[in-house]
Amino acid sequence: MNLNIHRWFAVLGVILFGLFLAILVKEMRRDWVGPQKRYVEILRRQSLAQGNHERIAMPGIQQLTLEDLNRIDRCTTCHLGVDDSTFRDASQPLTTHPRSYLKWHPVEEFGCTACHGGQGMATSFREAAHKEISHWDDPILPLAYTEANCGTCHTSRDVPAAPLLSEGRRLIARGNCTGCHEIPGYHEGEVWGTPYGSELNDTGFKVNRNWLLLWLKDPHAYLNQPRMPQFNLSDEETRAVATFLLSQKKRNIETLPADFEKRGDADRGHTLVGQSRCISCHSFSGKGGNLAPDLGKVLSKVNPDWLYSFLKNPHYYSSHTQMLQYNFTEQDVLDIVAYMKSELSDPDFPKAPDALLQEPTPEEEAKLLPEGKKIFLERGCLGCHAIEGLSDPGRIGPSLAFVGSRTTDTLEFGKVQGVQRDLSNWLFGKLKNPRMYEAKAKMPDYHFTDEEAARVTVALMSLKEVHYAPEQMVPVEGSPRGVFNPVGGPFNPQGDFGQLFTKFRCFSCHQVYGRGGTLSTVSLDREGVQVKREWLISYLQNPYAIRPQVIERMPLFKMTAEEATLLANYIESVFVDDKVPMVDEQTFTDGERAQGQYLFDKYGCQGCHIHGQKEGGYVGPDLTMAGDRLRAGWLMEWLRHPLRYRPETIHPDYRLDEQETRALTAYVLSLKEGKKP
Amino acid sequence: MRAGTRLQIVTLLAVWVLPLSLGGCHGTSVEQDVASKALRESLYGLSPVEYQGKKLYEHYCVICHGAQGRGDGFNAYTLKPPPADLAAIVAQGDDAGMLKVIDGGSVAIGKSPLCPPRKGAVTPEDQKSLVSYIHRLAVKP
Repeated sequence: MNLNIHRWFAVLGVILFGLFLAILVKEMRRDWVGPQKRYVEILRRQSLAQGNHERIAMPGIQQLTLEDLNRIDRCTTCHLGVDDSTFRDASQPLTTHPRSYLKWHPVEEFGCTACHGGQGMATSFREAAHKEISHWDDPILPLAYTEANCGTCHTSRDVPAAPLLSEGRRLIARGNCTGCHEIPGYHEGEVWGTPYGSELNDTGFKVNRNWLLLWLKDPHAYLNQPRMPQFNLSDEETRAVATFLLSQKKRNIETLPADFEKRGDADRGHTLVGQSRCISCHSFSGKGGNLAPDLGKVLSKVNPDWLYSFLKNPHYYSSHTQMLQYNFTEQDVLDIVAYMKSELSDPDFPKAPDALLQEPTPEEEAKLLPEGKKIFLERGCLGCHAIEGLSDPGRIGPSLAFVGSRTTDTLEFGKVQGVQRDLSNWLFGKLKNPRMYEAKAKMPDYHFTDEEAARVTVALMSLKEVHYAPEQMVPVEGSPRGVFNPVGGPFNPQGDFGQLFTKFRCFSCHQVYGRGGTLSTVSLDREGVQVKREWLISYLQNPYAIRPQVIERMPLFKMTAEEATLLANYIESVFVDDKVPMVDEQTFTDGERAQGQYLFDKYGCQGCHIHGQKEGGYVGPDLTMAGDRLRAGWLMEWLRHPLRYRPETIHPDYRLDEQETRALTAYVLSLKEGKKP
Repeated sequence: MRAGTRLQIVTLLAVWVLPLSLGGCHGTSVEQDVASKALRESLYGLSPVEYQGKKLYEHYCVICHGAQGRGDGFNAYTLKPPPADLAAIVAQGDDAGMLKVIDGGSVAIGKSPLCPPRKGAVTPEDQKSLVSYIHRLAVKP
């Protein structure tokens, strides 16, 4: 018995000793010991080369405590050479960080995991969640997806040096994903107020049944790049929604006059469409702007009577439209409709299948109407469209506020096999085919290409729940240089000017104080100190192409002289910047003008600008009439600091001195002799 | 050992081993990282650095040098002398010269002033991205 107990003790002792040895060996062979030995070896060789024979100790576990980012990173325990350029040729994990990212984001300030992900506290390869090992909640992001983490702090639409993230964010805005999902940072909305899609109050007057059925089935059948996604409605659902929409006839329309065929002059209409620069916003069978729908076969869609009424009074039928109200006469409208009727319809426009196309009987209609309304509300149509009297049930999709922090175990992959189970793949799959994981999913199909879906995935993965100090966050508004905004809030013009500003929809193309469309590269912030009042009055009434290369030009509003004067007076007194000095161009001397002409050649300005006898390049504004247009103070300020006023400009900064600036300005403002078109 | 006991042991073993082997089967099926693959391929076969260069090229250079870098952009025919064929420049193997032109304009290497300087607008690092993209342009047929 006694012997037995001793034997047990002996065995136990041996096992414990074995365990002790095992732990000892494990300690000796910790992941970071090898790299640190190599690191010391490299350092030793470096110091030997300098004749230094001192012994170098292993640095041991390194730890960065990043209070602002609420993180502790020990990555530099192994990645010792990350900000030391002498390690450029060392192999991983010692090698230097590529490019100069660490200059803008020093390791001591930002650590590693804020950008790359992974478990900062770990000191072993496995626990740091390097990409080869999946199923960690916060694994190191694949290199291509690192831009997602840029987006956790950089919340603006465009993030410098992160093109994929920026493109993804643009796609989210373009797809109006916020119609159904709450997404922080995307709530600016359209300037003329939501909704994003067209108002459907008068669909019954506006479009024909055949077009509506085809459109509801698949918008790609009508447009190449429709903004509306495909909803995968069954035939029965399509008929119900179409019946509901065609019952919407809230505002009466005028019918074309009986003698329209005689009175409408299609040729004159064609000229008017050209002059009015419809092409700045609309495309015509693929050619033209992309602010508004393609008009190539619009008469296969809309009813001519509605078109006639709409062109006469667009803001009555659609108060949120981006389209301006032209000062068209009755005859102008008739001519434009005549042109559109003769040229912008497709005689071979497809027909919807008969089963769909069949008009519902009154009994059927009574059944289809409530059914259609129900589907309309359930599928989140009000996220983009509005119908008066229908109250918005709110966003129908889940919030995407912290979608980038979702862990793998919360993701439902359904029956999908063969795909690595992580967030990026889940999002990518969902975007490519919204019903991939669940056959009854409500999300419509945007027909994203792989390229687009991957970019949107990056942007969505940037929506992370992080606990960073507020000063670490880069603000949404504007560029790092900041937007010029003397009023401090959104610009919202009132009074007579406000009415004209709204009538001509200046915001659809121009920015004021960071608000508005970007179709025009000219923000109106400082327009009052940039251009001369007399020029502005004449330009508003008779606009011409200042930049020959740009398709999107100012429309011919048919503005009256009173309207133009009112706008110009307001612009001259309000859209000003006191930092732009007032310079009297009478003080320029002939000597300065001559020197300016010499400098104009010396700097190669004619490479981009037409001047004088219509010679020069087609990149920048035509300077033939620059003297009629520009104010001296502004031109000097612009020539000296182009990047200060427009960081994205391609106008080079020649670092001119005061005298050169004066001379160039004097020369450019002497270019007046050109004749107005 | 009785036959019954042996049977129990075998059953127990089987119960243990079965899920393990099933797990093994699951582990052998290849799981693809489709999202990263799509993202990598969507860079048009370019590295992230080259892609950044492409963006800059399209913003600053394409209008004169053309989409393929052949010196045949929209504005090319108004320029005398015409813009350089970048493939030929790359073939000369003088990256330092190219960086000089991007930074200080074509006057920096004693040529016409028509290619303007980008100092201040394009950081030195982005200038290198541009050069790396121009190298890729030159390879294209």
